[in-house]
Amino acid sequence: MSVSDSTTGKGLDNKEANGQVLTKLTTEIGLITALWQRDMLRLLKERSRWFGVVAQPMLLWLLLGTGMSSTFSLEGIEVDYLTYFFPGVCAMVVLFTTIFATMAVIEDRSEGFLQQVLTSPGSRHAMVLGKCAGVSTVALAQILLCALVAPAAGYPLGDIHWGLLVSVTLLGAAGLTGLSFMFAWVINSTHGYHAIMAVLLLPLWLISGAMFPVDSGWIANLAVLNPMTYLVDGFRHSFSSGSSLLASTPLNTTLLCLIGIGIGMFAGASWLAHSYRKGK
Amino acid sequence: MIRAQGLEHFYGARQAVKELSLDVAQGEIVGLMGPNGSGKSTAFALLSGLLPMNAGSLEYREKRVTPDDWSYRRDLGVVFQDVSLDLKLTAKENLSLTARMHGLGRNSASRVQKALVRAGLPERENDLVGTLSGGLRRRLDIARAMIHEPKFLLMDEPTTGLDLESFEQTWRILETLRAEDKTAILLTTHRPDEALRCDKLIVMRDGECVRTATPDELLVEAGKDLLLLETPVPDVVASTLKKELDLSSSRIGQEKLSIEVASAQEWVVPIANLFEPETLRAINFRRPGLAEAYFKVTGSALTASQEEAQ
Repeated sequence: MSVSDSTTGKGLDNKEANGQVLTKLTTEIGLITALWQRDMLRLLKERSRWFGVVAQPMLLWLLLGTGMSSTFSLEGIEVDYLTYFFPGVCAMVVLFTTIFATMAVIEDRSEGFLQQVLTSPGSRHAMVLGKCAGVSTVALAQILLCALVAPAAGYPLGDIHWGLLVSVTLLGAAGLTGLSFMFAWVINSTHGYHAIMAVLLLPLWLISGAMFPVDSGWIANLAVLNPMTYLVDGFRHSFSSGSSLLASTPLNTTLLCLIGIGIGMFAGASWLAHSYRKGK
Repeated sequence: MIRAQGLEHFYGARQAVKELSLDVAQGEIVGLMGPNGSGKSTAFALLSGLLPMNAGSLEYREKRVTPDDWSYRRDLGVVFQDVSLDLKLTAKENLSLTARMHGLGRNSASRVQKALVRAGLPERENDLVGTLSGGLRRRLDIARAMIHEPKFLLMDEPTTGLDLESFEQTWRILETLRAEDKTAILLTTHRPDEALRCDKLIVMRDGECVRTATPDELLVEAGKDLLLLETPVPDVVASTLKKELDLSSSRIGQEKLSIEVASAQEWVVPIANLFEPETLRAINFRRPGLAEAYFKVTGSALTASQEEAQ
């Protein structure tokens, strides 16, 4: 494909850059990898983020889990609360990671970096995909770190289905990134974003079965519609060799829902980024 | 190379850009000149695709495009009014990311190095951008926008906040791009000294283009030179000037006269020779610049200081 330049006669549609032919695909991949690489670089530089995102939920797990252990009981299943609560805390780590990472979209807008991204040749879909890829990788690194604590929660390392753990983390993080990206895209201030996150996403976590079973009443109906439910269930299955009695949905349903949520949230975020211009 | 016709944009009910048309040829630097609020930054945002056009069309290389078209964005370099760098990453990391965004992944190292040299920052490549001064950040940001060797460079007040040396350095780069790479450059400015260096100026007021002309053409329209005489006896001096040199003067305040002439320099010595130092205390002359030309064309001030002077 080549169109003649009216003034120089050179073929221009596929511009050569140091011998490398530029195509739409190379710029799409370029934008995705650039955003992914940026998240990795920032993660390595901002070590305090590790502490905030991983240590806080782990501390919560330890203190709340120990405190609740003596009073917690499940009908028909004997399980310690520290064991019950651990997959929920992992879901919280993923949630915190996506909230912090997508808040950067608001900062990028005010600091100008977003404008650079929006005027690059890559599409808005590639931009959202790059963001999802970066945040999911960060979440995965943090979950793998958390998994090292799993034996203390009653999940021996040998019982962890690592492939499933990686898949659930990547799918869950991508879905939650898409969801929180949509809020970050339309909200102008980090204060406003915090407020929305506190009112919406944290309650989603609470009614996901992370802290207590949600198998009866109106909460159970809400939990079916809650994306976080499937992330928590996914972690329950992953830490129990691929099948957990504590999960509210079977593994296949959990994975299908996580895939559906991931695709749906990505599509929603892509559509919003494309149709609702907030670059300026 | 770039042709925009009838661009319009509304912020709610307020029309920020009204039927703006412009042309930028290869190797040409065109300036959108106007004060704050004249619509030039909105026009910039329309052309860079950051804001949607409510009306109008865009042609790039004689093909109808939208600012979202890949063929347009691939060849576009953009410098924003505020730097668009990640302050938490190093200068080199920022340039590498930009190169990657433009699909230069494998071959970006030489481009990054060239951009660092262009920004005058090869020794500070590993410094976090947040630790660089405002001027250095600006230079790095301009080098960033050029890393993929764009055919069309769009700049929103690119020299804002730069000291004289950085201003000159930036313009040396722009002039090189114009002469050697034949890059088409469109920039917005409210600086008369910057506007003077453009090949063509689009004079903006209230979102409209009120004149398209070269800086020289605008300077001619700005009017004649002005001689300013300070004297304790303005009436005596005025009548002597009329009688001896056939110059008509106007009184400004208690002890000042102004005279409009084609070339002020030619009259300084003849006038000085006519009077004793105690009669004529000082002669100044002022050549109208683009700020005066802007006022003449639009009836509005280009800069805040000019507004105060008016």
